[in-house]
Amino acid sequence: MADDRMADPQIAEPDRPADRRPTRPDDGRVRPAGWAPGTGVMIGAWIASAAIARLTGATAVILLLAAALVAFTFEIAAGWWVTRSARVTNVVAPSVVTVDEPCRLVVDVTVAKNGRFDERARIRLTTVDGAAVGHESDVAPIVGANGSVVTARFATPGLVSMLRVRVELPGPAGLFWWRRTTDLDIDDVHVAPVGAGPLLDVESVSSNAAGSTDDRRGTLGGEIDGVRPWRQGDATNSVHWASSLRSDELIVHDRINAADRRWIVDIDRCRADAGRMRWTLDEARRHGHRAAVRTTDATLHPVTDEETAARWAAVAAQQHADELADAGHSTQGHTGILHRELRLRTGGFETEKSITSTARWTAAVAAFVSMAMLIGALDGSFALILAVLTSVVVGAATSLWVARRSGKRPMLLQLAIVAAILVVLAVIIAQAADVDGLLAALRGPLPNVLMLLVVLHGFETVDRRTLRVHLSITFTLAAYATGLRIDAALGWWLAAWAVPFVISIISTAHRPHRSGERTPPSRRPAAGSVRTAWRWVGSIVVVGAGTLAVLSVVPIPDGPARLGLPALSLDAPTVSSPGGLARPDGSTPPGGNDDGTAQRGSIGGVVGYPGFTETLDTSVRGDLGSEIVMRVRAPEPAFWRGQTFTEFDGRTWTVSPDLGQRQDGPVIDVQPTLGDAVGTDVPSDEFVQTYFVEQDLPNIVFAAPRTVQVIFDGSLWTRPDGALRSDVTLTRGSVYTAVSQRVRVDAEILRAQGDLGEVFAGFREIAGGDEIDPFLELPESTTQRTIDLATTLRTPGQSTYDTILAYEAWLGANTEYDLDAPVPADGADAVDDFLFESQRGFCEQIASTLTIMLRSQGVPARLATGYVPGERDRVSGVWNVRGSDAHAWVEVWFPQTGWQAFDPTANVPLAADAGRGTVGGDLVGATVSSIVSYRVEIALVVLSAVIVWGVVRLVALARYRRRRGRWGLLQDRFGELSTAHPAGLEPSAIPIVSTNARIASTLTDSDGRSAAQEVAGELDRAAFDPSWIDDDERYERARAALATLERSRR
Amino acid sequence: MTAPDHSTSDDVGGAHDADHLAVLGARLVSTIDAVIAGKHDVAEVAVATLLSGGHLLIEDIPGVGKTLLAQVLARSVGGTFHRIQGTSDLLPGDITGSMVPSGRLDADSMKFRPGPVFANVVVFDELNRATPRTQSALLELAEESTVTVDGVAHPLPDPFMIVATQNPIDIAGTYGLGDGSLDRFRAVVTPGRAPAAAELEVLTGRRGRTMLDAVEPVTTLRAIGAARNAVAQVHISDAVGAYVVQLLQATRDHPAIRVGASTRGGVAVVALARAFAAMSGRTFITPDDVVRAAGPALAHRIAGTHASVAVGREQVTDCLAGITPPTI
Repeated sequence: MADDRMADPQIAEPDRPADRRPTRPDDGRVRPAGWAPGTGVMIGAWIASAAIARLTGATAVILLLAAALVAFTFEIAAGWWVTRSARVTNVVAPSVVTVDEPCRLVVDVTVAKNGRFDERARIRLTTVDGAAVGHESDVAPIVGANGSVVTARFATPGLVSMLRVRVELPGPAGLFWWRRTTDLDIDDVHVAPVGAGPLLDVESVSSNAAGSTDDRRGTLGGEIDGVRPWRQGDATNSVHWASSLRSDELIVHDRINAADRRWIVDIDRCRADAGRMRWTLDEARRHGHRAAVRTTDATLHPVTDEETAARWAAVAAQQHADELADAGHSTQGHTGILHRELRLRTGGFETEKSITSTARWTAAVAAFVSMAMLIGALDGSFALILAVLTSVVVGAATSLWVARRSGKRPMLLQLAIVAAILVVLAVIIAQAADVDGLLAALRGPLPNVLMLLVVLHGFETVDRRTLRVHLSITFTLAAYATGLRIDAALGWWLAAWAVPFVISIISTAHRPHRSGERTPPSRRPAAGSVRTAWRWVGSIVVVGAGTLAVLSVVPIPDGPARLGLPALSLDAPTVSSPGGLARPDGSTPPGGNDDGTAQRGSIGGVVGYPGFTETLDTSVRGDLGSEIVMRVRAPEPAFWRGQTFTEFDGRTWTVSPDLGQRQDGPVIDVQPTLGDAVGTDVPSDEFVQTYFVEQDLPNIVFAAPRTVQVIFDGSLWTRPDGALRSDVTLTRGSVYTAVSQRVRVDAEILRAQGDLGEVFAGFREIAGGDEIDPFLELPESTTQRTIDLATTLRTPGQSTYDTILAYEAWLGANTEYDLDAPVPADGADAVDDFLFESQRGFCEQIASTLTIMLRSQGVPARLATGYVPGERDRVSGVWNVRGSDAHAWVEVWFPQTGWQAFDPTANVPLAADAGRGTVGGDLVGATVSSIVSYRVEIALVVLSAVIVWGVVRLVALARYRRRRGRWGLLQDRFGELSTAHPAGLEPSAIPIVSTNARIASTLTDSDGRSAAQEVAGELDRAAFDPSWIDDDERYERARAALATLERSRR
Repeated sequence: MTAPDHSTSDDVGGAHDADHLAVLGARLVSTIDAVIAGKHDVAEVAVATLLSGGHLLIEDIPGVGKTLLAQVLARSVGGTFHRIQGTSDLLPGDITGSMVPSGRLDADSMKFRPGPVFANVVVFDELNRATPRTQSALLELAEESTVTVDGVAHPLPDPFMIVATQNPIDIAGTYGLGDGSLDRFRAVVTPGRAPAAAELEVLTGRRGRTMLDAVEPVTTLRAIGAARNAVAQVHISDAVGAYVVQLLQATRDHPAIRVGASTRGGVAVVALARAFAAMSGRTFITPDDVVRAAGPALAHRIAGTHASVAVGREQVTDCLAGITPPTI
């Protein structure tokens, strides 16, 4: 023994060149790691919804798309933010492991932003020494609060002195993952090869205490030196029976002369066989031999136990690897080997696949709401909604049940589902026979198939991937419904869909709580929940603001794509007199109201506007009502014109008898009419409007002026006066689309055309007055004072545009808008009466007056009737046109830009000034205006929410206080003393284990120390002393002492 | 070397009186402090082990006062005191005693001559120099408090305590204690080198072995027995018990620990914690007692034969840091 030069194997480990160490430190960079399964489908759903937005031109879909885009960006950014704060501080690894044997490592990871460890975090370990690679992550909540136990397997034998720890973290929805890699020096891990025979050739020597190297083991001889347990090879006659009987094991005499055999393994000769080396060393021990390893410098290192044998095998393996590398099978390869990262797990990115029931049920709610939205848009029956609800509920319950049974679904259920599918498909196919045209398909079979798909997929939604796919389909469905819906409740529907959708998508990323898992002891309810609530509020605000920001640069879509220009008519009554006007029921309206006896409001009804008849008595104003008569999807406001009137007899306007030309739909090209010619230097563009008829209307087809095309399910009369009439009346539910040319006139262009009286006088000299004269004709009853007024208000040489402005200004100043204006006396000129007698009137009188005044100055003008744009629904982006929006205005013929509408009463901007807004601007306006108009209600809601939240908090706190008792609350306060780092105390002095006594010992103040110890003692007594009795006096004393302590700490 | 077994006035008659236990503990600790400089914590553990009825292992390199600590502990309690020096030729019979001829020819021709273990405090020096056979014989009798020779049971005196010292395992010429043997010691202390000031006092004779002769028993055997009974009565609440269980589980989950602490380890922690509680004048265990007891009671069990006790103690601290102590 004396000749052995003892050495510790760890110390004896040969130095390896420093340049082997990889030089990539933790650069703090966060790199993308990948996305969770199902995310791709979500992106696909987004693209599909973008197509829907393009097809329908619906702003609400754009809203949805922008919100989704911003939320996904937020998800990515939040994941990056969290990952950036992740720090790997320490890795505790066992010092000896065997290749491919699972071993546990504790990785201390802190995520500063959370303050606690994120259970979704994944940790991957790779080695960077080239010796071994291993990991098998995943993460159970661990011994400490901020680390995690990772089970790893090391793949190759050798020494590992540096670990590359990769922390992967996702955003709140768990869709996009980031990684941060840290190289960490660790105490060497000896990765030993698996010991395997055969034995190596070893140098076998025997020696005894006297230094004799004779192999006389087992022979009897020499003095008995004591006893020792039996080893293989001991002779039976050396057994010490008395001791053996006493101890139930074989004990033999140990003799002074008995020699121990020593096996010496030469590390230089067996590096390539590290596994055999380990086996040999273990065998030596098993046989009771003394084993030793001889290193290159001829030092002998005894191997006394299994662990040391493993260490030496690892060292040998490492030396062998280094030798191979040095032998330089190309240095490049060497670097490659050393720096290679092997990824053992190549499967799905998310290892956890199970879903929570919260996620599943909220997804079901979102699916149902989206389908209800769609059914509502298509006027589906209540029974259908009920059927959908039932199947969604059954689907969710079934899929959850299947998910809990680890994916096995019963045959009977599958058969039932298949049967149901076949029936529903048959019904859909039967319906599809009636479909003609794209719109009908888009409103009929297609949504039905989509809904069937969602319902069916509901049964298949058993893991995270399928749940995300399910949500993606739901998203597409919601976008589809949003594209179709134009009603005012759309915003609420979207909210009702979005809330469960978001909850579902976020809880998909959470691990379901398994039975038998220990929940952390409940601490004070306050701090954590408040922080979480604020984080949620902050996230929502950020996403909302981001969405608005994105939307503020997205222009309102300029209408549906050509492919999707919709037209639809539903069993409408045919007009009895072709080309003539009809009332909504198809009958011809009573023969005019020009008999002077008509009473105001006599026509009645929602759409009983006199402007929609053959003759317009300026003294009659229908009883219009405020119901919505139609919704117009158009990017900007315009007059929705119905008719134009040229002939005026002083009281009544009459439409031209020329019916024009009959054309069959659905695509009807409208020829330009007189006065619609536009000079090429004037900017113009296409203006698409889709009209959704909400009330039964007459057969007047409303459209923005200068219509070039109408998509209409029926035939149209395109009249030379620019009006359009259909063969059928427009019943509720009809849809048609008009494409108009929008001339971008502005004040400058109009003003530049000068005095139109002079211009047209010139035309008449050249071309005669046949075409122009009807628009200049004054009724006989027109009084001279009317003409004089018009002449007086016009400055000679002034442009007609300015003249019109002057007339409008005069009218605004000297007349009054009044729906109850008196009826002019029989035979009186309506214009004269309005201007000089009553000075009160409504739009027909005002517009008529302006027309006559302009005509008296030689400016061609006519009266137009129709609807003003109405009010814009900011969410669905349609104009809601009400009965009371019926209107009459003046059209003036500008030779270069065509008929231009002027309106002294309604505030409709010039086309060039009507510049299309952005979706976001619109929405901000809507939000601000609704906040302003509902400020009291909003304040009340916020207040009551705060109150409810406060009450819930107070109740929770009260329950907590009751549960904790007064001593428990004292304990809480005492514990908080230790968490705030005492000033002037070294961090190392803060106790690792915060028992009350140790907390007390850190309170440095000399007065405080005894007080603290007293409090700590009382608290411990209250907690653990069985004979303790609550005593007010003691409590007061402890509380006073604690209060003193708290004061002194501040 | 037999101390007079007379009852003194400070007999702990009121065993339930916690203050008496605290006074007794403090007296014993200060006696040790008077001889051994700068090892207050070690002294406390030694006294706690004594009061909890366990055996103490003192492990450190030679020359730091291991044997002295054992001797002063033995003297301060009075009672009989024997010392065994561990050598490789020490046989079990050498410590248990054996049958020797009585000189008579009747049935009692052989009589039992008690070995050195028949004393109240047995100091076993350099335990790891004795053969494993002797070690296990010693520890077996320590467990049973009885020596059986030729079928006759001879009860050991009560109280009975073994204070063993040993050198760290990697010093040549030793037989490391097996995991099982280590498990039988309630606590292990490693005094370590004394601070410079204390060393000066030793070298100048103000403390150290020269003071050993001045140590007078500060208590009686009866008082120790009563104190042990009182310590065993110290209450442990379920919450603290659960805390100990968590600690044991943590040692089993710790990656650097090969085999976690056994249930006997947990029993040792609780017993030692009881003694600490009693020495603090309490009749119940607080988590802090557990924290104090965990290191001495578990370090040697989880370190096993392969690592030093110091490493084990660090690992115990690691485990403690990961669990939250119970409060009210």
